[in-house]
Amino acid sequence: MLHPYKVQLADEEGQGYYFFTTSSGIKYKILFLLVDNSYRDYPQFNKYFYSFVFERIDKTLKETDRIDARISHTVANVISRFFKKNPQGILSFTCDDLDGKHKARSVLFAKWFMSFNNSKTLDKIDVNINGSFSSLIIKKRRAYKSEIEAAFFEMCQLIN
Amino acid sequence: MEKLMTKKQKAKKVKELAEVKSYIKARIREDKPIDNKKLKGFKIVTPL
Repeated sequence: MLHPYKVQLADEEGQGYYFFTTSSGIKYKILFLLVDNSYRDYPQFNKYFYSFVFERIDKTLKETDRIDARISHTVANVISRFFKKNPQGILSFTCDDLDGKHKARSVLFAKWFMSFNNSKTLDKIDVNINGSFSSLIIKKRRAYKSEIEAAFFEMCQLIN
Repeated sequence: MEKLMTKKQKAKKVKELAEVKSYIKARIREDKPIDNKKLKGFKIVTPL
């Protein structure tokens, strides 16, 4: 059975972040950005709005762990912990298009999400506008869910 | 009471967030520290 990698908290110049190292020695960082100031028109939920950043350190290294399933387990575990600790949390992320692989990333993440959301307690809302792939994860039964989705959709439209 | 954000202000925030995320991702890829001054008011937090 596959286990997630051990995720550790680190502090760098007053900024906390999470990281893990794969069995092949590749390190990933996970950061959460509080984006409450973007949603200040919605005081009923703006303070729960986070943006999720997941990135590999030093991409100049040869990619040897593309099929390392423990990475997806680890990310899923982090997201699960986030919602256990922050049941009202609203987690958004965007698949970056720096290398033109944003659609593939979005498909991959959707696969991860489907396989790890066994209890079906979370919902993923995808917004695909003009080739930009953004998503939002929230508890299925969260209060203000439709208002949150509408606010997120409005913000996604504005960048395009 | 604070005024509602205009469409222009919201668009600015969206653009800033995208820029901040690009900056953060680039710094991670380069394994360099993140400068708080470049976060445009967004905060890195540890909610786990």
